[in-house]
Amino acid sequence: MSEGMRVDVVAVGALGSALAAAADAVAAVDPAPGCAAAAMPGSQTRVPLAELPDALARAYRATAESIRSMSGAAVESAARYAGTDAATAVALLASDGGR
Amino acid sequence: MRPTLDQLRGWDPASLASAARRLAAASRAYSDGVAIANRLVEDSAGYWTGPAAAEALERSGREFTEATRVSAVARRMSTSLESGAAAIESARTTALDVAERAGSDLGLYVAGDGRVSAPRVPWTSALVAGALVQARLNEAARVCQARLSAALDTADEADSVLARELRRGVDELSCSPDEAATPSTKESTPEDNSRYWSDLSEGRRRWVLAEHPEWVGGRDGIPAYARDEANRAVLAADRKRLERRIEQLRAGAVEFGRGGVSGQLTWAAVAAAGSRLGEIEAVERALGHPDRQLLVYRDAGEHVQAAVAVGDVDSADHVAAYTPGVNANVADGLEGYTAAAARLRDETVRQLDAGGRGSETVATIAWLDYRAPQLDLDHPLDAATDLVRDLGGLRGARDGGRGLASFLAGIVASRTDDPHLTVLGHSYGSTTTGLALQHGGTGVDDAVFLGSPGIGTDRAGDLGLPPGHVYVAEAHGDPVADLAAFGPDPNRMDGVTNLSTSAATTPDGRPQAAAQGHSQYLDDGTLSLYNMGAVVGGMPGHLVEGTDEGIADRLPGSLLNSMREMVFGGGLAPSLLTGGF
Repeated sequence: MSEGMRVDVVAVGALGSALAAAADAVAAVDPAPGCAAAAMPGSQTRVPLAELPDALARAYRATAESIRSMSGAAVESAARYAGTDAATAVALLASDGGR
Repeated sequence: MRPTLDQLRGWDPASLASAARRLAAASRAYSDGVAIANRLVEDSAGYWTGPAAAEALERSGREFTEATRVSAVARRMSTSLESGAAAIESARTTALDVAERAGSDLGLYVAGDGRVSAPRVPWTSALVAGALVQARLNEAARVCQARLSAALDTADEADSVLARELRRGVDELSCSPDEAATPSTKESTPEDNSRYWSDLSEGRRRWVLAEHPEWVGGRDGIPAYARDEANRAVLAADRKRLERRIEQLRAGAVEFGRGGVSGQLTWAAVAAAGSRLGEIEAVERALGHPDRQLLVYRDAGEHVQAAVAVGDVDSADHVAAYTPGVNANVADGLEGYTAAAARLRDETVRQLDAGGRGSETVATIAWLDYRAPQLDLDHPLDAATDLVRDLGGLRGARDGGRGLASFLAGIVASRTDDPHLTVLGHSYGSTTTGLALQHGGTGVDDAVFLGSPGIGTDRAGDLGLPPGHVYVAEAHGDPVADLAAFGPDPNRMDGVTNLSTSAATTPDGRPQAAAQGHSQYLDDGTLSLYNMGAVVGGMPGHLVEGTDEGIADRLPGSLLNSMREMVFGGGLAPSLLTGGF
């Protein structure tokens, strides 16, 4: 066991939920300058301008996925901490011979 | 390609400006979302501590760094779109106005590609009047075409600049970990590393620097600007990690108390982490001026190794690397050695200026990327043991020489031109420098050995430098310079030029002081520093030559020689000097 370990299981679970909401907010961001590409026919700008929204959307999605994966890890950790606690209680009870 | 008038008429720069505003708003929303997530994880320190929490914090920090990079690209794209829209709009309006006036008001023919021509005046007109009218129309067409052509060129340039910026942004954004560059291998040469960096797109370089600075900070052959940025990032991350570690350890130590094994071990760990933090602070102090580059920052296990440049190594006409000797280490010495490098640079620049070569630039480097023997003079027995083990065995100089050779070759490999490169080694650092040069392929043009106890060979020719490019300086009262522990006393070798360290007036009329003893070679106002500057700046005509022979030079049977015999025996076996390179 590492030095200074402290866990508020409920708060870690809540952290997971809050991170999931943050991930949703990031995923919902729409870069959307794409329609501007149509406004520059025959220009050198047209192609990269058309590619920019996709590139941004991919980057935003990747960030959202990372936050979501942190959220999942927090929720899972909270469940495991709680599970370990419950299992320890059961083990202690069993070792006491059910008295 | 230059747009036609028809294309220009179809362009709508206002849409670009509008897209820029939407992009900026989206970027803000993205940054806000990421900042919220990061703050949530940071705040969790109040209720969640331990390894998992530390990993979560670390991970969140990495994500935040990446998101900051993405956000910065998005903001830059927004700004580019906004300024590009304004530039295109201005050129477009001018071009269309000129075309409109030429056609409607003046009756000129305007082609889509911007050529303007005058209508032909009917031949039935009065001869002189007709010719005059034709001439005026032709002149008007010429003027209109020039103005139209300039406006179309401006529109083309604005379009091209914006397209380049957008392409760069798309490229940078497209660098995800899935398709990222891989690091060059540990066995790669400076030339391999240089090629690796050259082959990366700008976007991937930015990605490597943001995500994996440890890949490139210590790689010889990578440009100095990139090594500097990478090493500073690693330095900052190390500081953060250490501070967190110390905080955690302190909390544990308080819990364990000072008694018992656990308590003592924890406090020892606190002290070790504090000591490492001290080394990091020493590096930060050495970087305390805007002209510094952190070329090496290496965790060597028990200590930190580093190299700091004063000036821009990527572009300087003259580059010099200085290697110090015994007891040199980052914690106690980096700041001072960097200051010495700065003095050497100032002196070189001064002489270049005075010689009418003020446009030439200089960068000097304090190189401490090796472990010189550390002799604790408060504990003479340990010092004597270290002396025999480290000095006699040449371990530090051998390892350091190998590293220094690679570092020097890396400077050359990272540049497309060929800078004038000088190495300077002091004391045991001169031995390290001599051994480095014997590896060959370093690209070094000049070498200076200061207070040298030997350069690892008995022939200056082994250093691979042309005749007249090996210099030795020995100050009055410097016993180390007469030790000849690692080869013959270099000031008596064939093919070396002895530089004076006495008090004298330089050829440009400046009186200079003498350097005394073993540690004043780079002191301000000394002839020694003046001579170093002349070598580094490639000004052999400025040199003041001469020797200041030590007692051992004159008395071969002296006490010093007896001591040398006692410590090192009869000198180094030839295999120690040349083997294993």
